[in-house]
This record gives sequence, C-alpha cells and structure tokens, in this order.
Amino acid sequence: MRIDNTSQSVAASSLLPMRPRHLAAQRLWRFLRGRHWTFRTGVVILVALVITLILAPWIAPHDPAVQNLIARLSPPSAEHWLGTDHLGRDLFSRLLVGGRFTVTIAMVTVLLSFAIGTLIGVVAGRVVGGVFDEVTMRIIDVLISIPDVVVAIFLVAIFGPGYATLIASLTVIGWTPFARLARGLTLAINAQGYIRAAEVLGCSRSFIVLRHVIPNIIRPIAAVSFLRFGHKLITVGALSFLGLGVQPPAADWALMLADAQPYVERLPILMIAPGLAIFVAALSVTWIGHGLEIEARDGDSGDE
Amino acid sequence: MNNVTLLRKSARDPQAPASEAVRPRLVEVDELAKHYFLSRLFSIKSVDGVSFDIRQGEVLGLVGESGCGKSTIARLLTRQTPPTSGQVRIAGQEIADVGGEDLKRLRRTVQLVFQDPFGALDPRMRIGTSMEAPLAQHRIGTREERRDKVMRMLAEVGLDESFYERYPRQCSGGQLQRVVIGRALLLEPRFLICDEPTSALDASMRTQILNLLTDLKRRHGLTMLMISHDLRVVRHICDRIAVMYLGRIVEVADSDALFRTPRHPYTRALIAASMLDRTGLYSPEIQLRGDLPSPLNPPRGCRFHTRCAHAQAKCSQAEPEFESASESHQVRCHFWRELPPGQTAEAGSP
Amino acid sequence: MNKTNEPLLVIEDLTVAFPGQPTPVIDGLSLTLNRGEVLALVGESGSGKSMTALSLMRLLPAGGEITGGRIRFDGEDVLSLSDRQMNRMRGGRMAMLFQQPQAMLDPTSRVNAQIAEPLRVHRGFGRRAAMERVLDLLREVGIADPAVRARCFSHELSGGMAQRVMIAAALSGDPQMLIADEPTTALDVTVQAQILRLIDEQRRKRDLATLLITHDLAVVSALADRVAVMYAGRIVEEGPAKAVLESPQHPYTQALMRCSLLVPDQSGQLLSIPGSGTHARELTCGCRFHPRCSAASQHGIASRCMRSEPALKPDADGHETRCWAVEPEKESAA
Repeated sequence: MRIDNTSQSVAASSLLPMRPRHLAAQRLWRFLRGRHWTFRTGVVILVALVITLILAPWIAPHDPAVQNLIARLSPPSAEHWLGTDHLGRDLFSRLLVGGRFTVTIAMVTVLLSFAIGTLIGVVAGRVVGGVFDEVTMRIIDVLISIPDVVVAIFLVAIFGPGYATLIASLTVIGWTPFARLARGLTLAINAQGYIRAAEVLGCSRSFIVLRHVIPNIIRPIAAVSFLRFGHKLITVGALSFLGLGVQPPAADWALMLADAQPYVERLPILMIAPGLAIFVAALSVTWIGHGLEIEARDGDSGDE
Repeated sequence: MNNVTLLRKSARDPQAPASEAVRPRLVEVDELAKHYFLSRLFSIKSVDGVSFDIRQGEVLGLVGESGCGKSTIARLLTRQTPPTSGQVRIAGQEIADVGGEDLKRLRRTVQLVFQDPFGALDPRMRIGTSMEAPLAQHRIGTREERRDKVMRMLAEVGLDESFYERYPRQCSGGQLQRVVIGRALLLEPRFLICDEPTSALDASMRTQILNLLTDLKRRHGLTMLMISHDLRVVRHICDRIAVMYLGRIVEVADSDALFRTPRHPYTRALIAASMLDRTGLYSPEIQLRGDLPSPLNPPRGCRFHTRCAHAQAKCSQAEPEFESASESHQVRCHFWRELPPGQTAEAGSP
Repeated sequence: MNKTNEPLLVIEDLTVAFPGQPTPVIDGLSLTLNRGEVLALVGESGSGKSMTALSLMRLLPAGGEITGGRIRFDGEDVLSLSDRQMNRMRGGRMAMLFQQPQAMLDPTSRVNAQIAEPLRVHRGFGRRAAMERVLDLLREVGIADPAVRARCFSHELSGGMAQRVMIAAALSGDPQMLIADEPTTALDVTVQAQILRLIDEQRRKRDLATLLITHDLAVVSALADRVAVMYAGRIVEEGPAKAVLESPQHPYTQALMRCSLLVPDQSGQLLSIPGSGTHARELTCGCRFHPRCSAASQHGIASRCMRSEPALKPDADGHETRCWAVEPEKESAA
C-alpha cells in the first residue's frame, strides 16, 4: 500500500540476513503502525480487556461471591467503587470476573468455527461441483436456517449447561458462514494464474490449498471472524440471560443484567455497568474486524 | 544484469535443418479435439481435429487470433483439461493415461510459461519461495541445494540475488516473466510451452524475453511450442510455424518459407497485418471482412470463406483437405495454386 | 482570437506528481496538437504517457496532482474549469478511447443505452432521436447489423466490436480531440488494422485532432503525423512522423525502433535495450537515459551525460532531440 515502506523493507532485508529481535512492545507498535485507526483502537481495547480478565481474580478488591445483605443495593462509594448488587456483592469485582466466561466461550467458538469453516469451504471450493461440494453446500443450506439459540436450548436440555455444551452448540451452526465465504473466495482464486501454474508445476493438492489458497483468502475471512465474535458475545450473553449459560452464583455479565432488572430504577448502574462491558468488548473486536476488512479491500500491505 | 544475454552467439543453428529429419519426434499430436459443451446440443469446438509433431530440439510456432483455440492446445498439452478426442504423446507416452507418480514425472517433462507474469506468481509469496516450492514438491535436492539451484537460475535468467527475497509487486513485468521462465526451467523440462510470453510486455522487454528464450533453448536443448497472435514475435525464434483458424490448422511451413511464400489467404492477412505501416493500412491484403465468426457455429465448408477475399462457391460447400505445397509446407485451401503470388521474404524491413 | 491558426491543444510545462514519490511522473512536458492532426506519444510503460492523457482529461488516479504548467484546449484553460464544465468537456469536445474496451463498458446495460445516455443528458436529444443517432453512429463505425448489435451487452461483443462501440460513443459528442490510449494493444493483429483504419477515416472526415498513445511503433507509422517520444516523464524527441521514424536522433528512439522491428542481427540476436526504465525517474542528475545508452560511451561524452541533462534542441525542420550527441559541436560523431 505504501511504496516507501516496501522499498525500505527490501533494502533492509538484503542488508541484514537475520532480522533483529524486538521487545514485545516494539513489535506491537510495528504491528499497529500504519493500520486503520479502528484496527488500532480495537486491538488496544481488546488487549487491555483480555489482560484485565485474566488477572481479574487477583485485582478484584472483594470476593465477587461474598454476600453482605446489610449493604445491599448501596450506591458507588470508596469501599465499593461501583456499589453493590441486590445481594450486597461488590459490583466492580463481579464485573471483572464476570467477563471471563462470556469472552472465553465467544473466543473459542469463533476460533473453532473459523478453522472448521475455512477448511471445509476451501476444500469444497477446490473440488467445486463434486460430491463433497454438493453435500456440504446442502448441509450448510439447512444449518444456516436454524437459529443457534435454538440449537443451544436443545443441547443444554440434553447435556446440561457448561462450557463444552455451549461451545459445541454455537460451533455447530457457527462454521457455516465461514465455509460459504471461504468457498466463494476459493472459486475466485481458482482462476488465478498462480494456481494454474502450481498445478502445471506438479505441486500437490494439499500444497496448493495450504500455501496458495489459504494465505490469499485468510484476510477477508479473519475480518469476518472478528465481526462474528461480537455477535457471539451477545449470543452467549443472551443464553446466560435465559439461564442456559453460567449458573448462579458465578458472576457473568449477562446474568448480572438479568439480576439487575427489578432494581434498575433504584440503582441504574447495576444494568449500565455490565451492559457497557458487553458493548465495549463487542465493539473492540468489531472494530478490529472492520479495520481488517478495509485493508483486505484496499489491497495487500504489511506482509512483515 | 544482462551479461548472460550478451554472451550469446547465433540463435538459430545453421546446421539444424540438415539433421532435422533424423531427430526423433518428442511431441506427437493426433486429431486432437476439445469441445466445450454448453448444453446437449451446443458446443464450442475450441480445438477441432488438430495434428502436428514437434521434433526434439525444434521450436514450433502456433499463431492465430484470440478464440482460434491456440491457448486450449496449451491447456491440453499440459493436461489442465482432458481432450474430447484425439491423442497426445509426449516422449512416447500417451498423456491421457498417466496418473499418480507418472503424472508428476510428466509435469517435470512439460512446462508452461504463462501470458500474464503478474498473475502467474502468488502475490503473497517471496520469489525465492515461489521458485523453490516446485523443487521441494518433486523432492529434488536438500534445502541448501534447492536454494543454490534457484540462485543459479536467477543469474541464468538475468536477475540478481536480491530478487530471491522480493515480492512480485516489487518487480516489473519483464522481471517477473524472467522469474516465471526460470521457475519452469528449474524442473529441467524437455518440452517448454510458451503461451503468449511477451504480449503483456513493452517492445523493449519483449525483445529481451525473446532473446532470453532463444538463449535458454540453445543451452538446455529445449523443444518448444511458442503460442502467439503476432507472427513477428514467433518468426525469429521458431523453426516451423503453424497457423490456426477457428480450431483448425490452416497452414504449416518452415518459418522462412511461410514468410517468403505464404499460401493461405489467412496467413497472408496475418503477415500483412503484422507488418503494418501507413501504406499497409489501406491495402486490400489485410482487410479481412468482419470479425472472427463464433466458434459456436463455425461456417460450413472452408471455415475462412466468410472473411476471405478470394472465396468462391466451392469454398462454402466443401472443407479443403490438407495439401502439401512442398515437402515441409502444408496448406488447407482449395485454391492455393491459383492465388496471386504473395509478398516476398523481407516484407518486414522498413 | 483567430481559432483556426492557433493549435487546438497547447500543453506548457506540465508537471504531475504523486505525494510520497520523490520525483514527478511527468516533468515539464510541453506539447501542441493542431486541428486534424495525429500526434503519437510513444514510450515504455511507466514513461508517463498515459498519465499525460489522464491529466488532459483531469482524471488522474487518486493522489496524483498537477503541480505546475498550463493546458489550453481551444482557447480555454482546462485546469481552471469547474468540475461541471470539465464533465461537459469530457463527454463532448474531448473524447477518450482505452486499451480495454470491454472493461470500459457497463456490463449491465445494453450498448445503445450507453451511447444514448450522454446524447440525452448533455445534448438534449429525445429518446427516439437519441436511438436513431446511436444507429447512425454504429453504422458509421462499421458495425454490421447495427440494429441487432445495439441491443447487445458488452460481454456479447468481441474485442474489436467493443472498441468500435467505444469509438461510436466517443464520436457521439462530436469531439474536436480524441485521446486514444493504446487503442489496439489488446486486440488481434488483424482487428488492429481495422480499428486503426477506422480511426484514420474518422479523423479525416471530422478533422479530428488525435492524441495517440502507444508503445508500438507499427501503430505510429500507420497513423501519426507527428511523434513525441517520452522517457521517464520527459519528452526526449519530437518531430514529424516521417523524420522521427526514418532518422531517429535520440539513442532511445533508435533503440526502440530496433526493438519494434523484431529483426535479428548477424549473430541471430534481436536488438534490445538492456535494463529497464523503471527507476530512471529517480536519477537526480544527468540524462535520464544514460545508464542504458550506447551512444553515451560511443561518443565519448559519458561524463557529460552523467553530469547534466541536455535540453530539447530543435534542428532546422522542427525535429527536436534531447541528447548531447546531437548537439551541433558534436555533430560529426553522429
């Protein structure tokens, strides 16, 4: 995208056979420099969020599960920064811990869907018109029309709530849009000269898929996966809200929203705080996706 | 950069024609046809009964307008698409039959240089990786040996070592075409097909690439098929030239003979058009009537009769046979004997 | 102002730059184009010849900027026109042909609608009158069966047919100037000749000034009255077509001529220009062609070529060359 950058990198790589090692912060800065602003902002928020969630048990000022019925529904104070909920639990501590479940589920689900969907889509796109392609596409047609909440309700009813059930139920539907996109992009790549060249040069099918097709379509798919992540975050929230996700007394953003319902007029922060947390997490990831999408559209840049 | 091309001597070996007859045939194409079926009733007869041989070390040119089927022949000979009928034997082996490891070996024997060098290289792969990958796929050499081979090949096609680390977008079209040629030659093919290797390039790059190909052909003893729509491009490098029209070969002759005494009216038009100048613009010779007819519905009789200035009643009724005008000169025209003599050999000089 | 004697197009000292690039793409280019004349602008890709055409139409790609110079077309200052006036100029008095005619046609609408649209918008034709005019134009550019072809979509046309349609569209506004950017490069040789002949006929009939941009000297010899050769953003030689083609003065033009002929020398090698001109614009001093130039060393003027850039010097017949080797005091060497 930027001509001066590429010419510099050519000079550098020919002069220095080994690339110098960098500190993590320097690497992050190089990674972010020159990217779209939504991408940069999204990455910064997401990194901060993930670090906070990982460290949550240690930085939470109170035990999120300890009830104090005398101090219930108290407004923000020096002791309880965001106040307490209807059982007198510290809202700030619950907020820190409550994101771990939702964010983990959404992340694992999207990663799984991304990997499964891309692989299936690319293979279908390479053997287009064949039996595998036909069968997969019909399965996708069926699956894509089923709402994932319905699948989740069904699976939770059979296996009971838990990490595995939720991830499984969201992935069963979740891979389909990735597969469709990957197949479409692969069809476009199939017509490229370098694929024909690889075939004539005698490269194996797996080589063509792994080294030519996937690297060239991964960017737009990654963009979509980030957009899907925000969507998954909200779905997981909705499932917890329906009582299919985290079980009380464990803390969870969506559960906190549900619990806050009767008290929203007395203490609106009970609902605003977890709502805002979901919103910020979803937004950061969506912005990363948006930034990636713009880069994918504007052409290749930053291979380093 | 170009010391390789500067070191060269005569491009076409003057002794070659004498020994031509004893050289074995490397490529034998027999009644090859490729029809693309649009429905049960309609098909595009892209290639329709084409036969030719190429002897070891020979360069055959294949010339015609776009849509005449010349690129389909490249696809058929490299087994990118199966033929509807007919046979192709390369080094004695029927290529339709091979599979598995044999197919891999065939890939090494036959290589292809593409028209569009920008498209033929993966934009996300460094040039070194692009060139090395096929070697690794064919399990040739160790990692270091492969790197060495690529470095030597880069030098041979006139590029310096820095290209190993470059991405395709950091190179010009001419440089990329050198890379593509080098990548094909790394597999040490015996038969190299060049599908419009210079049509995406400027005049100065075009001559550089043609010189490089001539040079490499001599050094590697390559047998080649040069496909182009421009007779000028193939004239110098080819020993023989075949002219194609709507899926059929209409004339084959030694390169010089074809330019000196073109027999088919279509060949004459192609020669005249490629030697265009001010007076030529209005000469009747190059004025083919209209466009190429649709290959969906090729004309009956001689396929060229709808555009031919010399067409007579017979031409729209019966398709002419391939007739020998001389030992090495065949033409598919009813009236080649009666046609007024065409232009002379050096129509190209200014 | 006496319009008939004044050249139709006068470009003075045009400079076009892209931000982030150290040197301008077009560097102080001056050209004139007379009414009814064909001027060929010749050069390799990257020489700036297409950018020149796009600057005339004020259609430079994003980032490109005209940083200096003037363009006068038929007495008007093109660079100071409003966008609206420019738009009308483009559809009317200036028309352009492109290398990829099929890509320039909208794949979703029929040929007749695309040609009729500007007629109705800019020139107030009614529906029926516009359609009539479209058929006339198609007939004029040699399309057989215009009534049928008019209802085709672009993908139903061959390359040659599509370029004819583009010519019809270009002629619909009764232009005074036609800019043809590699109009035949993507076409087969036989169709090439037909299209060139069509352009030649039309310009004679309409007294159409034509700026022909190409890298193919065969095309130049078929059509041009005058030739300007560009190298690395500068004009290196300009003059009457016959003079430039028969006795090219600049070593670059000479080399280009040899390349185009595709005729081998005694050793069987085709003559070519070594190296590539991709980075020539980045040379900060001296003649931009000197690294690839054979004359520079032959004439023993290499150091001069490296040190300072020659100016465009005319000879008696108005044949201008930018080369130290043709300077009068060095004449004997040539």
